[in-house]
Amino acid sequence: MNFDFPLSFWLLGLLLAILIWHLKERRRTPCVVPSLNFWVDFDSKRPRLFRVRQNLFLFSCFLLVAATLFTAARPYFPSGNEAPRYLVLLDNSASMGTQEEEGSRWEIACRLSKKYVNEKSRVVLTTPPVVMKAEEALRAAPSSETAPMGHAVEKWLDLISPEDHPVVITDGAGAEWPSSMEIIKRKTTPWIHVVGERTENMGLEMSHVYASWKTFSCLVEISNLGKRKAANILSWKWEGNTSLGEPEPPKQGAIPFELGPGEKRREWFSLSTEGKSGLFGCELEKKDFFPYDDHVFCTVSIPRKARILILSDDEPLYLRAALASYPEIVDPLHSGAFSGDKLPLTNDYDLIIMERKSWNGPLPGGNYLFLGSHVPSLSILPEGYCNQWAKAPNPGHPIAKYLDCSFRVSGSWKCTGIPTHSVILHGSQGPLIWEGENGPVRYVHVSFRMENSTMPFFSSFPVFIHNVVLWALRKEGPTCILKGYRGKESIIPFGPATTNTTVQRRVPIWECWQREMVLIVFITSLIMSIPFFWLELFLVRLGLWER
Amino acid sequence: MDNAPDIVLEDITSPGFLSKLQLLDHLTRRLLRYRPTNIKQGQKGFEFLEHRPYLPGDDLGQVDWNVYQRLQEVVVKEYATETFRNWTILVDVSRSMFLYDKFSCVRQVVASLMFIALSLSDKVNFISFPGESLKIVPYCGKRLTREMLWSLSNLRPVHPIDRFSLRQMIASFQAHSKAIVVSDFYDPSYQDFFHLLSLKKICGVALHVVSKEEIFPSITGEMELQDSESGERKRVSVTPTVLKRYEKKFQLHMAQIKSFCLKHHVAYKQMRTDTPFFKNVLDILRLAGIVR
Repeated sequence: MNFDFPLSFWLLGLLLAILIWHLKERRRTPCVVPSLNFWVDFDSKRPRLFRVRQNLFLFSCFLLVAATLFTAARPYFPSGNEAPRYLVLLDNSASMGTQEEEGSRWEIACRLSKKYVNEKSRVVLTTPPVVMKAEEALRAAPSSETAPMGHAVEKWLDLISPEDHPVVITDGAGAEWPSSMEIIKRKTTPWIHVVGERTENMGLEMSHVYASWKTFSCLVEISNLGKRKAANILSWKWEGNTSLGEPEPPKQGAIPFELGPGEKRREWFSLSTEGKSGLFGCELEKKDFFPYDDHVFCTVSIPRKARILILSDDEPLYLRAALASYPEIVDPLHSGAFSGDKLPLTNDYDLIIMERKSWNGPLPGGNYLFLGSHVPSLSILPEGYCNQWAKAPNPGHPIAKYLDCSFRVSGSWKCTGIPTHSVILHGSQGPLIWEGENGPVRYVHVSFRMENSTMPFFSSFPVFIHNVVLWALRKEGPTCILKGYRGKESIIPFGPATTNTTVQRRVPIWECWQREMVLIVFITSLIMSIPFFWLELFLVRLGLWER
Repeated sequence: MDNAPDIVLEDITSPGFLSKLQLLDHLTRRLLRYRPTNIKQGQKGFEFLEHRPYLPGDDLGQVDWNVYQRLQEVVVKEYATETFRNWTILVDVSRSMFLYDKFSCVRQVVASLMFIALSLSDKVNFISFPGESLKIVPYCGKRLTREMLWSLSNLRPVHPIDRFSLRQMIASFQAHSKAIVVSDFYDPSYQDFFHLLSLKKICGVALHVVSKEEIFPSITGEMELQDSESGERKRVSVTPTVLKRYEKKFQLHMAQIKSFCLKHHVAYKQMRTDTPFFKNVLDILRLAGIVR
């Protein structure tokens, strides 16, 4: 619940004043009399009923003041906090006066606007030249003397917050429309409703976007939304970057096409990205009045390859084999093995795999994979050794993804007290593999030696190494950020319809409950105060009633 | 006691009050039942006492010839032997007397009585009670007026103590003297006191000092009452009904004092603080038999 005038609550100090007054009333006034002999027979205690009445009187005063202040603060329930706000920009340029089969374009736009107003909980309607109320906006008939649209668009854009849904209703025929659309596109991607006859309206839409370490694919749909047959050329371009971030020579092409009214054409694109990030974009060469859907593009982001350092006394072939299985994530040029007692610069490596039996040296910050290594500085104290079976992976842990848990382990450490969410693989007698953090050191600890288990012979071992490398890179894999047209032909009905056509921002209690609140306060004061207390006080003052 | 009673002191040594006393003295002299003279103690006065048969050796000038003419009997007029009048004024200085405006009224009235007595060449014994060591302060002669007023104005409230010393003091009073007791009579020991006075055949006058606030208290609401004498406290919800009951009790208290005084042949006078000063003094003098 929010309040329009929360400053009214400062007047709650009145409650304190009432309390002080009440306590003062209850306080007994000292008075010296010549002799107490004449007062001995009188009651020294107040009747219980009187005390109850006094307290009730105080309570009624509190209630009265609190209710009055509550009403004065004008409370309201913010409606639809979760519901998004729809900012509708209604084009009222002169072309909107054109007559169509269902009426003028303006009337169609108004019908659409009303539909928004009726179906959404929070709608702000905007019409050039300024943002105005819904009733006024819907009365603003199209005119050639309308102020420049760019000004209204800028104001409308200022209103938009990231949670809002911008909506544009236009015929796209105004002289200023393309430039306004450019302004809009720079800031946001609106839902656009086109009213009236759509000429030369060709739109692109990208979907089914998929990026792997080596390939990128997507589906581009070309639609002729106009009423005439149109020919155009679809240009596509892939601009990749080298691992050092330098641009590579682009790959590009063009697809000429011809589409009748309402026809669609789908083009599949599948490119070999060779593990490199880049930008894929499609564009129509012939522009129309609706430039928002002439261009779609997608940014492909691929994490760089991991640099791995293996600390081992001998040559762990199973490890090298596992790492060699994933050349797309492992950088062999910058990876290496080390057998000395002093660690090289760990900053150069994304992951350090410790294959030694023990490591007593210092551990600089970084990501570590301990394969049965005893590292005293990690404060992991094994309680003994045991033979056990791998039992179950932690399904919520990314390293446990696709992990086969049917291998056998002999001579593994028995460790307890490890948080469940950190355990990657549970064994029959305790955790087998777990994740941990010790200051700048992030580590995955395998509690057994590889030569004492059958794990390296299982196909899930390279998977485990793959997951650990990704964990070290802190990235799950290639990501795609799609940008472009996301328009809808018509709005989808939401929720129950209402007949309220005003701008609905919130539901103030004062406006809805105005009479009720006044009545509540009045009846409360009437019931609690007047018959029992004020009247009694009056009678007592007159001497007609005794407490 | 935590809270001292509200003490009202009025300057009775001011010139305005002295002029009032002069006026009162002049008025009293005109209303006196006897003529003040310069006759010394033991000489015959002017107050007629009785007729007695002529005896040889009597002064023929004392024979009442009018009686002889009417009754053919030779009788001699007998006059009372003139003596100094002894006034004993006892003033209650307990704390209750200093509440409201009672003591300022008492101070004025007692000062007036003593002034009149001194101007009539009477002897005044002043006693303030209760007190640790009661002493009689004698005043005789008008020259002591200033000293008397000064000592009166310096009277302060004291705690109530044993009245035994007062009883002993009464034993030393002369018979047939006048004793004026000024008090609010909250202490029930006044009954013993008046009993002793009647035994000694002392003409007692009880001046019951009552304030309007005592008869009709103006307090109301939740009160914590404190006894001015003992300091005892009591919580009372003072309502109109309670006040009415209090007033009834107080009237009964006053009636009891009055009836007791009448029973023991002690003249009783209720001295209201809201009564005019002159009226109070003249009423007392009349009651004491000084004026007509």
